[in-house]
Amino acid sequence: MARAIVTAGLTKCYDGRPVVDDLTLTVRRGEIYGFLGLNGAGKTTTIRMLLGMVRPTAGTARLLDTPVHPGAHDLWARVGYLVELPQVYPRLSVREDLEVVRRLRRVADPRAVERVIERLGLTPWSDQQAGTLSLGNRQRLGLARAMLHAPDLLLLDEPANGLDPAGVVEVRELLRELVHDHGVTVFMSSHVLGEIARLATRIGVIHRGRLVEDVDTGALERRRWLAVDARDRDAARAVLLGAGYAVDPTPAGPLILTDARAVACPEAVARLLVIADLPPRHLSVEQEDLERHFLHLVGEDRWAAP
Amino acid sequence: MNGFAAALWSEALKARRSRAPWASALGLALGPLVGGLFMLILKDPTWARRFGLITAKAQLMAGTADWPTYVALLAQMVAVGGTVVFGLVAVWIFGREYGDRTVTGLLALPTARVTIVAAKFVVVALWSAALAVLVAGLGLVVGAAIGLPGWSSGLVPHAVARLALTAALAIALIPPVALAASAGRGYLPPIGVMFLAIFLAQVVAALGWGAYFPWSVPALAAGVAGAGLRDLGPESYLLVALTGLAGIGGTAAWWCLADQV
Repeated sequence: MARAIVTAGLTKCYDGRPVVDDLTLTVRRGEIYGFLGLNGAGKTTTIRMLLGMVRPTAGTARLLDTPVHPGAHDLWARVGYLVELPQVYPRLSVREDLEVVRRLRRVADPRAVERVIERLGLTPWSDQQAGTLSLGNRQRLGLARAMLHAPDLLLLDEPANGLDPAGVVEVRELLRELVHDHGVTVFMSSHVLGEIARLATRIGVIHRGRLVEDVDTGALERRRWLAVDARDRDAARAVLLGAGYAVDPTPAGPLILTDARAVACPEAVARLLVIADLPPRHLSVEQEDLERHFLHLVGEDRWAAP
Repeated sequence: MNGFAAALWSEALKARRSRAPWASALGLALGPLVGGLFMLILKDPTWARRFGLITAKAQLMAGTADWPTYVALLAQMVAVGGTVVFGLVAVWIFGREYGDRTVTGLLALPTARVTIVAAKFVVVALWSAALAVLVAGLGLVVGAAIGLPGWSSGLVPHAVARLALTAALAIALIPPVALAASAGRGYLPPIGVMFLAIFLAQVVAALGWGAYFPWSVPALAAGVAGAGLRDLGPESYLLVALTGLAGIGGTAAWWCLADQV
């Protein structure tokens, strides 16, 4: 499958300290890649390197089969982006702001501005000065700038920032439509796990500058286990281990059985415990939850729900 | 529309929509008005005394009340005031992109960064030239309104040449301010650089080396402190030109090569 983004050993150091460290990832065309990380994890620096705004200390990046560098003007004609909060020229109207973008992006069709205004729901504010827009509408304007030229690749840094719940859903549906109907690739960074979980087809987790996870959301969803609890948890654990089940050691909370046979046949586990006079008081098949998984990866799972 | 035309259109729109052109015009327009007031005081001390104005101070600054003196005064205002106001225009055009973080939207486009920088410099230069024309035009109106003596047909080309040369020298010194605005990522560093340059220009000129310090040259060309064009050789103009070119090159290099964080 064609690749939209390829990085190899991408590294950025400031004062000798790596902010992004040996980042190697591939995003296939037509994917929605969710790039997750805590604040300061290196998400924005990565996006800036992908856009040629920051030179890597080491490593390379290619977008749409083109090496990234500031002068890759043909490449930038095919890439739309939103980096951090969209900053606006306060005294330009929304329409004028987008007209500036249209001209600088060399889009010949002047109707592109009206189309994107309509698409992002900015029509009521199209003649309003951008400096007076609400945070949510400013975000819409930022997204309109990114999408005006119908790019093949969208790099979006926190695209749901400032949007109200309806706006979040609207933008989510818009991105899905762009991917499914127009084959656009979306690389979006966020620390809003719910948004990534709903939208992304693939997820990368960056922590302290390093990519610690790169996984299909489908594979994540297929991660399931059986949670079992009994009054005498230690005895139950011993029985299950004796029966050949893999029981994850957990300091507190239910026993976690990750065997495929336990997930496929939880009643066998229940029967085993009942026969041992350790009837389960809790038995449930659970599926990986992005929030729990993310917090586990970044070592913040003391906050995760049990 | 090619890239440069698009960038020029964009920069002109941003400038037109802002309050900065009006603020800069108002700031520089004070020059001919205040100069006119001094001329009025010198011309009619009795009237000035009646209104409590001090003629002795006006005498110190302006000499006699006639057209040649007034033109020299206007040129000095363009040299000193222009260096400040033209610099502030550059600070606004370049520094606000960093200060307001709008620069991010200009960095990964089909239009080259160097083209955007070039368009910004053209807008700054045209804007500054328009301000110089405003000073000259307003000076003409004020001078005529207060009935200054000493007008002659030979004065016009002399006045135009003197004002145009002074303005051109002041405009040529804008690019280093743009570089300071870009590298300093905002408003304050270039303003600091600009005032430091003006301060040093005074000191160096007072020491007699002004012809070799670019920021002293516009004031010397305008006749500040009794100096004049005769004190300036080709090397002075060359220094100003090289300073401007270095500023343009440095600004373009900064936009194209530096990390834009």
